[in-house]
Amino acid sequence: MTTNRVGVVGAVVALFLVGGCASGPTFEEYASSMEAVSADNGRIYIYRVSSLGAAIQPKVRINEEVVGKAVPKGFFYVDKPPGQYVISTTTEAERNLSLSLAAGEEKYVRLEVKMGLFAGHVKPVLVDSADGKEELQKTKFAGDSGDDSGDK
Amino acid sequence: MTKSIPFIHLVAAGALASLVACSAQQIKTLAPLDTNTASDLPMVLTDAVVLKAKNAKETNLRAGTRWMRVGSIEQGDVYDSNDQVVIVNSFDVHEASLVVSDGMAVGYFLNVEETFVEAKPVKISLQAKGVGE
Repeated sequence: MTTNRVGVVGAVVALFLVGGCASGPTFEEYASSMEAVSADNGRIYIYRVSSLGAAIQPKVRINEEVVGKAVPKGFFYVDKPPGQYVISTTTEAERNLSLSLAAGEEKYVRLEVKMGLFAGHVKPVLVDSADGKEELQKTKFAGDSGDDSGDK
Repeated sequence: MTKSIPFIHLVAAGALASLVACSAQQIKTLAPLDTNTASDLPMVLTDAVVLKAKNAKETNLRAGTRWMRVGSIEQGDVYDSNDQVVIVNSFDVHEASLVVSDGMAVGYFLNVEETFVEAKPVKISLQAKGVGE
């Protein structure tokens, strides 16, 4: 009996950890179909490497507009005109990243999972482009998923 | 003899910790950027520098990175780099530029908010590119 219980608990934990991970094409596969950023826009890559707290997948907003979802091991990108932007996620607390974007510029935003009181927080952090490019290789495309969940 | 801690106390402690975390923000001073003092002369950071603002993670500025003066604020000259990202990483995260005054890195200029965040002053050496090479 005990072995069975351990097995069930293990399965639940495994499901919790990997169940909600991105399932699209890998970054490498997807990259070949991506158009280069246009001269009058900049591009923001947003990705989440960790599958910690996989059940927590808040929407990602840029200046209040939903642009995607914080899917574990997933990435998406957004092209925006030059300007100043606030990228935010909300679980039990709102976490924000403010940045400016220039034409032709590419920025990389890693979504980090932090401990919260009742639920984890997903914190957007701007990273060096070298780190961003390397970490994106570990992700799969998770775009067009910002509008389909009931979470915040 | 072992007493269990009532759940409500745990919740209260958690809420307090959460409040402390939320209030652990930096003091920001409005600092309009004067771009008239910008310069096209590239500068190189000769030695690594660790900059730290209160309630924020350290920023490691790497030796050999190139910087340009993009203007100045009351607290000093403002430098930007294409070689590395500078952020003030606290409860929220802000993209930032480096503020230097009299050979000391004194804080951060938050690009979006146009505010200054003070850091523990640390000696910094920015040398014109080509000088001393």
